[in-house]
Amino acid sequence: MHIPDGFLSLPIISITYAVALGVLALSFRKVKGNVDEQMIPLMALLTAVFFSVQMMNYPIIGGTTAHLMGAPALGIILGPWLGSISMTVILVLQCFLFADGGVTALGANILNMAIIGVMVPYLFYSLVSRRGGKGAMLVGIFVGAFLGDVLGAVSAGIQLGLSAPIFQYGLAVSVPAMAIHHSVIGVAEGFVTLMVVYAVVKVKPTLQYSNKGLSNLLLSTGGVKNE
Amino acid sequence: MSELSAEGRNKSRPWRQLKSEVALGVFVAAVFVALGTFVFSESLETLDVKAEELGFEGLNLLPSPFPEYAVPGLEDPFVTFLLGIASVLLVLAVSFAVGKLLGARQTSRGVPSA
Repeated sequence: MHIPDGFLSLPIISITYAVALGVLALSFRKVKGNVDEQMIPLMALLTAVFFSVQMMNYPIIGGTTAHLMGAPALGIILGPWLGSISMTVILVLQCFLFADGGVTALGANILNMAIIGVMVPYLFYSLVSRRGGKGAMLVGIFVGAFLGDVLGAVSAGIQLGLSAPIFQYGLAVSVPAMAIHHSVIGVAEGFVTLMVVYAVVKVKPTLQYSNKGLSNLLLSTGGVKNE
Repeated sequence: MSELSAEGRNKSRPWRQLKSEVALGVFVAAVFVALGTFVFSESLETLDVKAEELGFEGLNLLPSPFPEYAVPGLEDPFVTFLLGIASVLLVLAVSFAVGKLLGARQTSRGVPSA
């Protein structure tokens, strides 16, 4: 989903940079001086692990390959603000060290993966898990991760489609192409996010004190919820 | 004396646990890097394929030291694997530094970070 240089028009580059920087500024403001001390090593570890996960390309449909994004797990475990900063660290290093995503498209890539990819799963998971119960938690995580992946791809498709004639496919081609392929990736992302969130909460039960939304999941993994 | 040593043990416990968590995380990341280098290395993303159909490729306006996650001129997969491990450690260090810059507060409810 990393958009390289040369695919986006100047207005799209400007708009996506403005939105991405605005939301990131809000994220920094929300978490500045307010990060639970146990979240810092966890954030660093998850960022490193999902950076490595993105190096694996597995075959999907039409002879193409895909890699997991990791953004949904970051959002659900770390929360939307810290999660978006964590994903941005990955994208910035990928852009400047490995030419994975262009510098002109960095705003778009941050918007698609670090903001939509992180915040949509968190929002969906938060809304669904309010119903309580293990089933709602699992559905919230799985469907949230799927939506985060697909909507991030749809956003990329819109940016590319609106960049015509630079990227010569219009919206009618770019959006379905990205959405269909990323639906397949989204299913895998959903399963992996479920496993990762479940494993992290199981290994680190004190996470419930930093991320209250996970306390119900802790109950379902056999932990004790302290009120 | 025994109280002091017990206190020391209690203080070192979170550090020991943190070290073991970091070691576990780096090991898991190393497994993914190995899979990404030796097994699932071929990248043909939808976006690149569609662009290729149009006859153009993405550009890189800024020169990057390790394009395509490889050391230029060294095709050896083992070198790529080592670069991947070094990159994981770099990401770990940068994100830890960013987390520290954000400024931690004490763990809520006085629960020791475990």
